[in-house]
Amino acid sequence: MNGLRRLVTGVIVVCFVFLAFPVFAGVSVKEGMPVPTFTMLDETGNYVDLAGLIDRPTIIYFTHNACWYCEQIIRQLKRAEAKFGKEKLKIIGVNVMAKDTELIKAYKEELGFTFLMLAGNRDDVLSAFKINYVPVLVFVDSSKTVRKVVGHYIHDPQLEENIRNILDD
Amino acid sequence: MNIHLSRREFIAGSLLFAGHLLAGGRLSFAEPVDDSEVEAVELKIRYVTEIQKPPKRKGIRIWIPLPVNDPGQEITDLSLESRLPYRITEDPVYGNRMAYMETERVEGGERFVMSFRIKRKAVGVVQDDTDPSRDLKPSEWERWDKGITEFVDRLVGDESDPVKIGRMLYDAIIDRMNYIHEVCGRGVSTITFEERLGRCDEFHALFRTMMMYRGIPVRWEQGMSLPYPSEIKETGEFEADCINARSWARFHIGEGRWMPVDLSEAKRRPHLRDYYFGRLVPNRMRFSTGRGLTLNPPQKGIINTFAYTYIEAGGIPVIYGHNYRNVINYGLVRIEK
Repeated sequence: MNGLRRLVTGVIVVCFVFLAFPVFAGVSVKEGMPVPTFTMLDETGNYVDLAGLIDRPTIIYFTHNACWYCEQIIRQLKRAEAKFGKEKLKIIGVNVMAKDTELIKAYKEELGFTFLMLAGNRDDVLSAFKINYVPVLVFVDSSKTVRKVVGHYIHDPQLEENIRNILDD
Repeated sequence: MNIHLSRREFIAGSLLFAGHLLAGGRLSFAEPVDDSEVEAVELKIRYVTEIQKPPKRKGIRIWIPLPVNDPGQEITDLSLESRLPYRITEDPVYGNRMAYMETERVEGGERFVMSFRIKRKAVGVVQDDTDPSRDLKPSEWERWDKGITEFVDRLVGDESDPVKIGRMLYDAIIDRMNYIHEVCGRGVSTITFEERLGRCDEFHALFRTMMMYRGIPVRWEQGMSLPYPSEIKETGEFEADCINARSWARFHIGEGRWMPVDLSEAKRRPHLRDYYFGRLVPNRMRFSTGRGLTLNPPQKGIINTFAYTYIEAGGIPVIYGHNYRNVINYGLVRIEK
């Protein structure tokens, strides 16, 4: 009976650890492979599951506050979101400077965009997505497969071409 | 060749020429310059930080890095124009100097103008008897993993001479890596080692990590790029941001002597590969030393390196290119060969 109780207690502790802390699915970003997924802090202070958020073609955009090109890409993403529609294309920003909600809230306030932004200053996230510099855009299709990783400034035609490649027919 | 000038053209030309000489300019006959033979470059610098869109949050704090006087550069006639009162501070670890100011709000168009004259030299090994143990502590971005340690051990073996180890790692990293333009690097050694890609911060983070793993102190030096002497114009303008920021390194070779290396420039300019192991072309300005800095007074955000103005609003880093910009204007005074 004591053994069973210890087993149940152990299971509860393990479940608590997994639920209480950000979880990494354990893969690195690679074109043609499933996108790495995590639970990450959003601007409201909640942990959200990246796997659940990618429910349609998605751009995951890695940025930070000290990069002028990155700020210009935010403007391009706002235009792309308006052009293709939120129902067809999801954009998720990840600020690699942000460890908490305050920085991403301020970033969104300043640049005036509505898409989700997550706090990305985490070794596990940055290692899995191999973020050694910004800007980086990860284009993911609706089956959660990485179609393209762009690690530099992008012009509108190239952005649109990559978006069209992940859109559902 | 006959040249015909109108009286107006002659007077305008004469005034321009006289103005140039009065401003400290030199005659230039466009003779070809070999970068490896240049001993020094002297420039007048105007560094302007300008507020674009005032941050929405109150509580503005501004840190402007001041250029450093060291064996590699002489700074003179340094001045700062600011509507806001400022004070000059030093960070407690590296002694980096900065102008600090704070205010509740700033207006769009507010400017902070720093002017100075710099004589940047083609500096080699320098003597510095400060304790090198500080430069054996990796920053949070310079950890070594099994891949890095196995690579270094295999390459270096039992060698203990820091110059020989330095050259082996210098060559190995340059051969292993590809250079990427126009991104803002984080300089994370483990990712750099795996991805084999980066700019100056990635090259030097990996070099520093590998050398520190072998117990050799390496100092991180940080500043802004200048054009190569062979390409520099009489005047020029560029953005002082993460794209134009430049790092290099200096490692301890014993008895207080430090040898400079610039791996990323050696990658970009293969004909200067031997030169950059032990000497630096005077195409840079140094603003700080070290990574993971705590400014004075301490900032709230995380500073990877300190090469250009850093601003916080309400304890949050403001957005470069949106809230503010830094622009450097230079005027070439002379090139010494």
